[in-house]
This record gives sequence, C-alpha cells and structure tokens, in this order.
Amino acid sequence: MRTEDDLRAALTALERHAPAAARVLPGAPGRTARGLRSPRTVRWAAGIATAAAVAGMVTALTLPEGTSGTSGDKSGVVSSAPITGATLQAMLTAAFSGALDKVAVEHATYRVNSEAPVTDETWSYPLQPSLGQQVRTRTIRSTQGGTLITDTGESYLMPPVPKISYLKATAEVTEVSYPGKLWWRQQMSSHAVTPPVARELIANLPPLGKWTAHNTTLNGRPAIEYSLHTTSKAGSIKSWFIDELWVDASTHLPLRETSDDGSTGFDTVGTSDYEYLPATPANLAKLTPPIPAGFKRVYPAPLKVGQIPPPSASPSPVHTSSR
Amino acid sequence: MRFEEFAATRLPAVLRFAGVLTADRALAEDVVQEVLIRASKRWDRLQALDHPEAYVRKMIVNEYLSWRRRNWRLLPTGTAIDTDDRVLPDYAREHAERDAILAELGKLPRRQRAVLVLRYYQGLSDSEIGDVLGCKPGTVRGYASRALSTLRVEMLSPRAPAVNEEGRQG
Repeated sequence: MRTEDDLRAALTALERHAPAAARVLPGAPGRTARGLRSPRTVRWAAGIATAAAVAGMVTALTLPEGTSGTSGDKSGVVSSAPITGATLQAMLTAAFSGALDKVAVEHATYRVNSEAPVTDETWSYPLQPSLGQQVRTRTIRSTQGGTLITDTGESYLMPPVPKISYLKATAEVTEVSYPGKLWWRQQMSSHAVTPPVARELIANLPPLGKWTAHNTTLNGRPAIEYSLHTTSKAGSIKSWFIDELWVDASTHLPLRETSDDGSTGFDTVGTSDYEYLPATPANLAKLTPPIPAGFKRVYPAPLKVGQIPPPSASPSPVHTSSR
Repeated sequence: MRFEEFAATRLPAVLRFAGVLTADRALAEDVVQEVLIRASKRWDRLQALDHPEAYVRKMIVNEYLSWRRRNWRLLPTGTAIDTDDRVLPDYAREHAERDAILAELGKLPRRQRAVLVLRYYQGLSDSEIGDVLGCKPGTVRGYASRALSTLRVEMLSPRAPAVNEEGRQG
C-alpha cells in the first residue's frame, strides 16, 4: 500500500512539466521557431485586437491619398493626418496583393530579457496565401555570431484565419537541431504553424493607436516611416506590437519594423528586415531545410493529451537512425 | 499589484502548479497562456482581490478541466533537443514506484486528479478545493476517496500536511 507521502513525492516530480515563463508570456519565442513573430506572439496580439484587424487582412483598399510615396513628394511629412492601425493594416494588405508571387524573407534579430540575441531568417511562400493554398515556411535560427541552432521547415494548407488564436493546421514539419546533430520529420495535426510572413506582420500591427508617416530613406531606398503614437488605451499593449514600420515608397511593401519594450521586463526587443524575391526555382528551393550529412534522425512517439510517458522499464519511445 | 509584477513574482509558482496539474508541458503552456490572456485583460479587477494568484489558479484548474482537443498531440513540439528531453524522461529504475503512481495518476478522471493536486500538492483544504471546483466539501472528499482507492494510497490522517508553493513539507 502506498502512502500519502508517496503521492506527494510523485506530484512534486511533475514540476518538471512546468513550462518556462518565456513560453507563455507575450513576445516569447514560439515552439515553431519563430522568434519575434511566434504564433504565441500573434495569439497574444490577436486576443486583444479588434475585429478590424482581421477584416483589414482581407480587404484590399486603395492607398489613401497623401499616404503614398508615389506622389513624388519627398520633402517631409507625407500625411499630416494620422491614420489608424486598421487603416495601415488594410494598406499593407493591398500592397501584398500586388506582389503575390514573391518569396518573402524576414531577417529578425531579437532578444528576450537578458538572454543572448538570436537571429531568425524566415522564408515564406506564397506571400499572402489564400484559404487552402499550399504554404511553405522555413526558419533558420542562429546566434548573433552565426552559429546555427535550428532549421525548421513547415508545409501546410492555409487554414482559416482564427480571430483569437494562432494558425493551426495539419503540417509536415522538418526540424534540424544543430547542437544535437539530430533531425526529425513529422506530420503534426492541429499544429501551431509558422504563419506566412505577410499575415504575421499585419497581425502584429496594433489596430489601436495612431500612426504618422514621414518620408525617409532606408538603405538608400526611398521609404515611408510609420510611427505609432499610442493613446492611453493603446499604450497598455504597445509593447506587444510593432511600433515603427518602414515601407517602400513605391510599392508600400514593408522593409523594416521594430518592436521595443522596456516596461514589462520579459518582453522581446527586436528588429526585422524584409525582402521580396522572385519565385525562381533557386529561391523556392531555399524553403526546404537541408539535412546535413551525419545527423541522426529521431522518431518521436505520439502521446495522447495528458498521457504520462511510460516508465523506463519500457522501451524508449525514441528511436534513432543514421541518415 | 500590476500584472507585470504578478508575472515577475508569482508566475513561476503558477507554472509549476500547471505542470503538476497537467503533467504535460505543452498542455500546461496552452492552459496558462489562455488564462493569462484573460487575466491580463481584466487585471484591473483581479488586482483588487486579496489573493489574485489564487484566482488565477482557479482559472487554470477550470481551463484544464474544460480543455478539449480534437486531435492527438504529437511529440515533439519543440526542437529536437527539446524532444529528446521530453521523450527520454529521467525515469530511473529506482523510481519505478513513483513512476507507477504517475502513470496511474494520468489515467484518473480530470476532476479526481485536480482534487489530488489541490490537496496534496497545493495544500488546500477540502472546503477550499470545493470553492475552486464549485462543489461541496463532501463531493471533494468523494473524489479524493475514489482517486486514492484507485491509486491504492492509504490515507493515514484525515488531513495530512501537504506540499505547497510557500514551503515544502520536510
């Protein structure tokens, strides 16, 4: 017969299942290897966003007069009247719609708390997929010094965009772990997928608050810089969203955005640069993570929700093999 | 207490509680995040409570009890390194008995499991557990009795001291 103390000891042992705070708080890197733009980040954002945020993603609008850099006005403020975040979302949606057959690449550098900065290079195609369209993403995570950490590829059919959750789909996920020299490939149901770059960028724009625009240059290119001016209501959520955005003056496609926060102590600080490449065979090939020679494949076993892994007396649920 | 202060000071204990309750790190993440989203949005009211942490725990229990998934969760859900850590747990043979308890604990109905966690890990009284679960203390004792019987745990005292977040039982 077991005692209550046996039970207490067993329960205490379960503390090892406690998640890390950085995984459940806003701005935390997601498990699908998107850092600043993790599904969980989006989830936090979407939970607070208004319906306008979602509506803005599917409503292509003509750029409001005075906010486009195509007018030839390079002398200063392009829009004296601030625009709302929802309007900016709609403007970006329109810009993405004009570049559908592009491969988006995001170069993000960020840090969480005092941890060492991490860099994510995320490839995504197509730029703005429609419902049911095949989506491929690849995220290469490395230290700022260039040491590879993980290389994750996902392939899935674009699911409906949820209002208050992150994108979930049945996805084929391939992940290469460089420190462990391991890799795995798995069909994952109801997986929190890495969203297409365009969708995630729009979802991370706060619909609250006002944005002002200024003509500027970025890396020698004419650009428009949008700056978020928070209201008291929007101020409380500012840190979880983009607060500066540079777009190409001609195409209005995003070139750079920043998120910054110094108030909560657990948020991310980061910068993302974007580029849009033609969908050539060479660029499309970069959406698939290569498996380095000598890396071992692991075959994790499926577990039911709440199921506790069997004791060690059973065979290990992981099997490895040389590639 | 601002939400940020709560997160900085009390969140680790809440996370451990969620880990013990769910015995599933990924599920614990999902449950805690759902709760934090809701809690942060009405924090102006929660912070006025004497013990907002207790209310957050209550939210976590309720979220756990109502959690539904249509599909099996597949491991791994993180990096390959994480995967190794998760599916190669540190179950050593000397802990076989403890592991057997955990395996049987995982088969209990969720409410019974929640009662055991709240009683033996969190150290709540049956009355307090009833408040969390929204039932009477007698019902709590019924859940506990059935769960302990299933686990073949002998209850030596009507209410033995429990492990809790503030101080571990020696």
